[in-house]
This record gives sequence, structure tokens and C-alpha cells, in this order.
Amino acid sequence: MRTGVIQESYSELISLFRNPTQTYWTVALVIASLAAPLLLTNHVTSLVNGMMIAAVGVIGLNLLTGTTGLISFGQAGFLAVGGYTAAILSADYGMPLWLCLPAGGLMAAAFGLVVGIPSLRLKGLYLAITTLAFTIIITHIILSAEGITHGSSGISTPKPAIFGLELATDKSFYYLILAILTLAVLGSANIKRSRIGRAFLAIREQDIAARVMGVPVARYKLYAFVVSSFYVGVAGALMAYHIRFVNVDGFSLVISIEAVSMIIVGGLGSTAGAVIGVVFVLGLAEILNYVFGSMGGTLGSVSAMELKGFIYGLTIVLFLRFEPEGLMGIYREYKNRWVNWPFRY
Amino acid sequence: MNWFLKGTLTATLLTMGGVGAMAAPGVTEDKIVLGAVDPLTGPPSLLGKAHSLALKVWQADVNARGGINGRKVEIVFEDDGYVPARALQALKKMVEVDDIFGLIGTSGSSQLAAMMPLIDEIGIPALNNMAVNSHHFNPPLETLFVVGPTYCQEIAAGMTYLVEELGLKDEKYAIAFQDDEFGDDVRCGYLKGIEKYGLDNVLELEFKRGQKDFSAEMLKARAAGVTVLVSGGVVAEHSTLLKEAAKNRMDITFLGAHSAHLTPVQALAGSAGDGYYAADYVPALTSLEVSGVARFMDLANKYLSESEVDSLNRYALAGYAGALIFEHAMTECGEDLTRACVIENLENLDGFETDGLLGPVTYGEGVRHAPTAIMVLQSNAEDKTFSIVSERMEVE
Repeated sequence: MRTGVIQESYSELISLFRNPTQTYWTVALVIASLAAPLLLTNHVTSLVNGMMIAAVGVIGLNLLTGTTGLISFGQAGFLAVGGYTAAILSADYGMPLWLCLPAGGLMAAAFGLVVGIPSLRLKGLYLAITTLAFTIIITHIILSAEGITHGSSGISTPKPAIFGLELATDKSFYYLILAILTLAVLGSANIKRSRIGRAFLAIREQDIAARVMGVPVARYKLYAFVVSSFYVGVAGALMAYHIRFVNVDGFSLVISIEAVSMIIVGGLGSTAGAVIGVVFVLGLAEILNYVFGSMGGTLGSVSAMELKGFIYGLTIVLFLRFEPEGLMGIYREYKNRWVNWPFRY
Repeated sequence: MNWFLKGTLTATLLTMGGVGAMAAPGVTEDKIVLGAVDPLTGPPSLLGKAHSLALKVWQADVNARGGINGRKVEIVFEDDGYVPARALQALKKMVEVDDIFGLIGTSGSSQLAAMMPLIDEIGIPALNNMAVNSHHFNPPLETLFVVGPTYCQEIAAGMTYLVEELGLKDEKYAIAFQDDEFGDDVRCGYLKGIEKYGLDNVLELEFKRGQKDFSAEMLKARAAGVTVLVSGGVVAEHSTLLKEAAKNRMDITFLGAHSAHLTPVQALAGSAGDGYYAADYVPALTSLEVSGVARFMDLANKYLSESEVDSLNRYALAGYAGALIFEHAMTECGEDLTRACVIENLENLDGFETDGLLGPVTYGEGVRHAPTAIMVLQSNAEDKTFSIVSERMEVE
């Protein structure tokens, strides 16, 4: 029985995996991820693709809200910026995917800077409302700038292809999304372990104390907005290729609220929690769809569809009420119980 | 086992496998599986619920009649919540998991636009009878058939009625339209009417999508002396404009597209909603003098609960009519039901009648839009009904 995790050298201290068990599980996860499309149906692979794309965006939100403590409801807006950038560049200018994806991220990051600057002095509810307003502004810009964004008609994107390799099927597109998600996870993990990440945490805990200790709070808040927006912009660009169509109807305010619920359900501040939160929230919706569809009869009736939404919302609320540390909190609790058993601590 | 027996068994298995491989997706000896993507939750469920209930009525009726060439119809419904990404996901699920043969519910305009690449890729016959947009048929997809006029065509026909039937040629005309493609489409029809009859266009009021307060707009209209107002709102906007007009004591003739032909619009507008006009391509649910409507309502009362019947509206009639069109195309294929056959039969429709639910439906080679004839209905706020006040007008 392992009695504890002990680092005896600096390299062990900064290594990504704390013990061999973590390494083995990670390798198993990588193998399972690579093999998944071979075993899953196209429909399930498509669902998984949607989850992975959402995870990229939610990891970005987690850096801003979970790690830095800056609440934001602007995710739908940044997602729209990334999605429309990729759609416009690919559909109207014929630019390749490998340019459109980072372009979507960079454009969203630029908007993140625009949102971040006036938000420097805002906190809590005021910051939330400001970021919410950003999403509304972006929607109106998209509808107004018809010459660029095609207004409310939306834009159909071409089939994704990278360096001559067509990724038109969900299974082939899966691997590109997986690669980007992996980079997103590694990027987030490294940011959190770096000086920047420690500054984010300091700002979250007590920004005045952080400033007193010499952390340039304004600069790091802007970093948080920019980095977070970049992640969400890339997710938006991926979404544009996944759905092959972008339109303002797909970037409603509900997306922002769902994103925040995902990081809370998963566990605020945790990268793994962000991914797990996405799987839980999106998976719950699909499970309810399946259950209600399979039941047929009264439960499958049209009126009962609203009950599905009620159950979905109630599950999230109960979770937030009784498990505020999220799924990662539950995992840590049970892991500690397992490790320490038969002792309590 | 001797060689002869092995050979026979192998040949039999290969033949069975071959037959199995050639059968169309979603078609078995005794069943046809169709799919419908509808917004069944959220505010747009007003449309989706009515549409899906109509399809359930049709399904029950066609199965009670013995099915289509002996095959019972099964419809798989998926809720997209009016979100394009979910609509696409729903279609993927229906294609892969439910193995649908065709698609007879295509949700809203953006939602169908998101599904179109997959519809084209798979070659699944699809019928759009809910939200018509020029992008759905221009350029046309081989397997996607659209029935119903565009909002531009509806309002243009409505303007023709106002001038030629009501004699409103010397009035001061205005339009309030949403700042999106829907509003642009309505404005298109309005301007066609203005140009055709040389009408006095005194005001064009563009409002933001989702706007709830129209007091400023109606004050402008009152200042301009507007006497005819064309509404380019979706649902609630019609009611709000009507109430604002009543509040300002404006004597206005009001015209909307088929989105104004809904009981909730009347309910929200209250007494202010009496007498307004809506241009539509399906009759009212209470127009029992139309044989198709009478038949549908009989079936609805037979197969649906009372609360479900109360949920019906013009989208139910459009959905039922669309299902009849698809039924005809499948029936004409006989035993050998394939997607290619249904697509060919749909393409060959020439003046297909739906018992008065729609005008004659005609497609053709490379033609995937059937802009059926339009009628004008008038609102009766007291009993929350609509009456047909014009003959069907062919689309120009």
C-alpha cells in the first residue's frame, strides 16, 4: 500500500506524472483514445467529437474562471468569433484548415483583449454581466456585418482537409480533434504549473494580496482573457468544420451558461475536471434523449419532452448543491478513501 | 455434407445476402422507417410539437389503412431544440442507429441548412414543409424537396389582396421588419407589392431580432400617418405591434406572413388582434369546408388526446400535407421501394393535390421548390379563429 507521494528531486517535483500508476493509466487512456473510432459507431464518434470540441473550449474557460477566478459568460461570443473566422476564411477565401483553426483562435484572442481591458476593474456579477453583453454585441455584429458574415443566412464550410488528407468523416476528423484536445490539455497543465499559472491562482485567491506581493494583476488578468479566448476560438473553429455550417442560432447565451455549469460540475480549477464536466453534461443530455426515446408511450410523447429538460436542469442544480467540488472532488474523496483504507486519513 | 449440398447452401446464402444488401435502408418486408427532426422543446416547440403531432396522426392513419404497399410506417422523432448542431447530430443518429429511409421533418431554416450537406452526401429523400428559405433550393439538392412559398412570395400575394380585393391603393404603407434574413424576405415581398401597384411607401422600420418593445416604432408610424402596416416579425412581434397600434389609437390594416397565422399571436394581441390579415399557403384549422382540413381534424380527434389537439396549428396542416406527398411518392414505387424511386416520383409530381391543404404541388427536373398557391386569412379575435377571405393566388 502506497503511503504517500514523495518527490526526492527537482525533476520529480516538476514531472507531469507523480507516480508510475498515473503514467500507466495515461498510456492506457491514450491507447483507448486512439482505438476508439475503430470500435465506436459513426454516430457515437460524432458525439465524442462534439464532446472533445466542447472540452477544448471549456478548458479555456476553466483557465479564466476556475484558475483565475474571473467569471465569464462570454464563451458563446468567443465561440462565434472563432467559428465565423474559420468559416469566412475557408468558405470565402479558400484558406486551408491548418490556417483557419489558429486564425479562429487568434481572432477570438484579440476580442478577448478587447473584452478584458474594460473588465480589469470589474469582479463577480459586474464582470459576468459585461461578458454576457459581449456575447450579445457579437451576435448583433454578425447580423449587421452581412457583407463579411453573410448575416443571418449563415455560412456553409467546406469539408475539412489537412495537407491533402480529407477528414470529411467523423472518424477521420476525430484524430485531428483529439490531437488539438491533447495540446489543449498539455497547454493548460503547463500554464497552471508555470509562473503565469501561479499568478492566476494568486489573483483568484486574493487579487489585492497578489498585487502587494508584486504580481502585475492587470497584465495577468488580460493574459487569462486572451489565453482563454484563444482556446474557445479554436473550439469555435473546430465546431465550424464539425457541423459544416455556422449561424447565429448556434451561438446562443445558453452555451455560455452550459459551459460554466460544465466546469463547476467537473470541478473548478481542474483541467481533468473540465473534460469530465463536459462528458457528464453532454452525456446526460444524450442519455435522457435515449431513455425518453426508448420508453415510447407516455414518456415518449411530445409533452414529456419538456420533462427531459427539467430533469437535465434539476440534475445540474442538485449536483451544484450537494457536490460543490464537482466530479473531481468526488474522485479525490474516493481515491483518498481507497488509498487510506482501512484508515480514514 | 456433399459438394452439391455445400454449393447449393452457399449459393442460397449469397443470394439472400445479396438481396439483403440491395434492400433500401429503412425498408424491410413489413416496415418503412422515416425520420423527423423537430424543435420539441423550448419556445420554438410551438412549431415542432404541432408538426410532429400531425406526422403521428398521418402515421396512425396510413397504418390503419394497411400501410404503404403492405409496409407499416414507423416515424422516429428527434428533438433538436432549434439548434443547428443538434439537428445535424439528430440526423446522424437517425441515419446510423435508426436506419431511416427518408426524412419528413426538417426543423427550421438554419437547422435544415446544417443538415443539407449530410442529406446530399447520403442521398436521403427529404421533404421540407416547415421553413422555406431560398438557400434550401437554390442551388437545388438532388434529394431535398421544398414545399411552400417563400415569405417574399407570401407577402407579395398578400399585398395583391390588399390592393385588388380591399382596394387599399391610396393608403400609406409601412413595414416593420426584423434585421435578419427572415425580415429581408418579408421586405422583399413588400417592395414587390409597392413597385407593382405604385403604392405610397412612407416608412420602413427595421428592428432588432428579439426586440420586445415597439413603442418608438409605432410612434414613428403614427407620425407618418401609416394606415397599412406589413409585419416582418416572427410570432410575438406581430402581437406587440398590434397592441402598440391599438394603444396609439391607430386605425391600421395589418398584414403578416404565415407566422402571424397562429392562435398564440391572437391570444397575445387580445382584442387588438381582431381583423388582421395573414398570408399563408395552408388553410385554417377551423376551415372545415376544405375537405383536407376536415379529414385531418377527424383523424386528429381520433388519434390524439384533447390537449394534443389543442397544440395543433398551421404547422400541423403543413406537416400533414407534406406527409401525404411523401406517401404518394412511396406508394407509386410499389413493392420495390427505393430512395431513387421516391426521388424520381417526387420529381415527377405535376399538380399533385392534397385535398385543399395546399395548392397543386409541382416539381421537375432540377426543380426542388414547389411554391404552392397562397391565400389570405383574417383573424377573429373573439373566438380565436381564422377565416379564409381570398381565393388561392398563384405565386408570381
